[in-house]
Amino acid sequence: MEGSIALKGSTRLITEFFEYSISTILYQRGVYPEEDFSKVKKYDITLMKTVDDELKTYIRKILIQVHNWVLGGKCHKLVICIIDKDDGSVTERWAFDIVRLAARTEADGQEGAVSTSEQSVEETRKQIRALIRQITASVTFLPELSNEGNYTFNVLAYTDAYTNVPMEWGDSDSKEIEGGEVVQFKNFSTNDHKVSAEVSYRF
Amino acid sequence: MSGDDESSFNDGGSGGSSPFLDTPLEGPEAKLNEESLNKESSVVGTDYHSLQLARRDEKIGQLESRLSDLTKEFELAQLQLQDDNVALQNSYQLNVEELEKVTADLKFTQEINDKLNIQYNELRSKLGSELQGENKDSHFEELDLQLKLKDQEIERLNFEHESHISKLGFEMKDMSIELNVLRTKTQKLETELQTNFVELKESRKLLVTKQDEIDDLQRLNAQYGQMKMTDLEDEMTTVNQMLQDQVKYTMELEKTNLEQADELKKLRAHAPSDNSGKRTDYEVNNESSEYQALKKEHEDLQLEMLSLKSKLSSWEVYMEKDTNLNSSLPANGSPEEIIHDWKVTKQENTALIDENSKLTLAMSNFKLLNEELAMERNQLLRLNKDYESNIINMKRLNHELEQQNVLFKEECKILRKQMDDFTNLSSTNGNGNNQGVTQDTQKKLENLIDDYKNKTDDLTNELQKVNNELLQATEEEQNQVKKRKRSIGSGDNLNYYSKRINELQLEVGKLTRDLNKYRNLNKLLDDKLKRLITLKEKKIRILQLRDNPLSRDQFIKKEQLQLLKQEKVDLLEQLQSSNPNLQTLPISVYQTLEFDFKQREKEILRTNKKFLRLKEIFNKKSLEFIDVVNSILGFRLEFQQNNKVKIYSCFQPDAHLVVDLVKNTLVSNISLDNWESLMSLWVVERGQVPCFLAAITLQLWEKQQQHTA
Repeated sequence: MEGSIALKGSTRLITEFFEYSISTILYQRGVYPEEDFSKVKKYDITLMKTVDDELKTYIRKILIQVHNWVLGGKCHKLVICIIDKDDGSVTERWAFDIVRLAARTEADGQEGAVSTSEQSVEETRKQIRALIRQITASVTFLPELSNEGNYTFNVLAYTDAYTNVPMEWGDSDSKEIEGGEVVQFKNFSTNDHKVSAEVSYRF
Repeated sequence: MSGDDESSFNDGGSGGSSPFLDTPLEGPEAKLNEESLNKESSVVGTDYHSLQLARRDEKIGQLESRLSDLTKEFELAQLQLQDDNVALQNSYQLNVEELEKVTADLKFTQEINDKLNIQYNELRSKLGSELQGENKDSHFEELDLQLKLKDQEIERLNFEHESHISKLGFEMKDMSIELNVLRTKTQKLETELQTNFVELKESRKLLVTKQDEIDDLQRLNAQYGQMKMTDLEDEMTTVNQMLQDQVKYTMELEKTNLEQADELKKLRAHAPSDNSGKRTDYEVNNESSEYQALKKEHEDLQLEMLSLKSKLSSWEVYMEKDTNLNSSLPANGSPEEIIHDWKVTKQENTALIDENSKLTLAMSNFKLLNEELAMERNQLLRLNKDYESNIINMKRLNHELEQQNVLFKEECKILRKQMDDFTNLSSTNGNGNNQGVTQDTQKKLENLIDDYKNKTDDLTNELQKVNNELLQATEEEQNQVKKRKRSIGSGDNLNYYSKRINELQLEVGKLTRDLNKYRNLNKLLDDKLKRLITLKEKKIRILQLRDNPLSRDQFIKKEQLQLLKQEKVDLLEQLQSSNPNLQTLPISVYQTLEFDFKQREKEILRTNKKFLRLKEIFNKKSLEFIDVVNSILGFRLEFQQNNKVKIYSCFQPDAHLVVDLVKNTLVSNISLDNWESLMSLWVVERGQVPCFLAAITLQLWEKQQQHTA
């Protein structure tokens, strides 16, 4: 059908969104310096994208694997943790839930109606735009990261227990913030997936 | 910004910071390059052209060969078509000839018929005119004669009919013989089928027996497996060895015990003084403690031996219990022999499994063959049926043809007779002239004709009856044959059973296919079920890249910490132990410093990277700025190293102004008529260089406009 996104296309769109959202978060939260980013036009808005080769390689390495997992329906969540370098504590935790609509229809018959309604590419872009704007605007309410330049980040992927894991990947704890505040963001959906976002932070 | 920085930003050799210097090559060098490129391209072009020509020639050659092949094929096809055409023409000519023959025959018969009709009409007319003078008696005599002839004819016809019936009977016999032959053939096929079936049964039996044997062997194997023969063998050997060692050891111990006991006795016997007694007591005590220890050890060993014996006995009991195993194992069999036997049986088992697989393969082949034979048989039966029905149809056709033939002959005969009668009548009636007599005779003749007609009708009816009877007879015969067949079928159950077996085998084949299909489906469903179960039990795994920024940072910190710790330890050690005059440092200090140095290097690299990025941004921004300035002011500035600035106007880019910032001079190669006056007015008198530049810009624009107009 014209305008509809196939599973592969949907996965690609989600992976692309992760790439831009990771860059945006790292820029907005000052994890990497401003000069490591350049402006790009995406989703009809101006976004910041990293130009640091090391960081680009790292993000690409993660996203290639995440793309494969999402395509195979093995990945359900992607988490970006901003960690204090001094004590290793998690300061912010950005979580993106991925729900595969086809799988959801299998699990729950009532929600099958979601998958039947076609989602146009433009509609998805609009939703992504809104979500990225929300992420950008979240700087206003999130607590300031006082010790600038002393933060690093880590990306966690929530997968099925029996999925194939490459050697480069290892197990990790969930890096939850105990007693942290949680803010739910908007979500976006394609014909095959629904992605929702939230941030939890130490108040 | 310093001069070095500025120079670093300059990309061109002229040292100017303008981005215009980055424009592509222009002037003689560029032309030279272009020429050389053109030359190269021309050389490459000629090569390419020759290559293309060669390829084209090759293609043409290929196409020509293909054309020749196609023409050959076409000629062959034409020849074939000509042959076919000739054959068709021949056949067509033959058919035409046959048709002509048939038409000639038809014409001939029609002509005869026409002639006869004409004769008949003539005779009739003659009869009508000459009936008056007919002689009664002679006519009656003639009629008698004709009657006799008719009778004769009827007799002849009866004879012919009988002969025809006999002929048909012969044909029937031939057919029955053929049928018998076919039956024998089918019987042969049936016998073959039966033999195949018997073979199949035998093979099945064999297979069952082999399967039983395999099952027995597998059972045995399983028993062996339960016992874990290999482990058992190892255990047995070790146990044996241990037992032997222990027996030896116990023997030695017993010996030593006995010796010690003897010594004790001797000592007890020789107990002269207290001192010596004390000494010996001490020794005895020592020895007794040793003895106690040895005794304990001995008891332990005995216990171990007992346990081993019990193990051995349980093994023996097991061997005794399992008579099959006992019989299969050699008497007083050592583990090596048992293992050898086991290996032999294993080999036999594999051989039997191979044989079984071969037999199953053969059986499947037999099944396939049987199915094919059954299908062939069914086909034969169908053919036989068709053949029989064809025979019946042919008989019917034949019969109808014969009937028509007879009728035709009858008609011909009647017509001939009538002709003869008319000729006789005309000859006899030529003399008589009496009208009354003629009327009577006419009536009589009419009656006679009616009689004839009636007789012919009777004859045809009789013929029809006879034919019907014949048909009925043949049908009855066929029914009898069928009944006989049925009776044979009921009498001989073999045919029926073979047929039934065929059907059953086909059904069995179908059912086995269905069974396999359903088994596969079952497997698939099982897999799906398992998958669903696993889905329910799904667990989440949290993964991260091993080489991530956090772990990298932590690793560095950990390394630093370890180095510092080591350094601290080493320094403390040195402080405590070393000579204060000796000025040395532990290697860990050097390592820590090296590590720090590396970290600093990395940091420098990072800052350099940052600096480069900033430079890039600055360049980008400055280029943007220059572009904006150029577009707004209409001048392009080029800063040179000797504190000179070249100013190019956008309306005359080939000419420029050179401003010397040190000497404070302004030189130009712009061709303007009022240059001097403008210079004196704006620069010398009013001291307004921007206005002077604006005036030049305006004049240059006007000049350009005039030039373009």
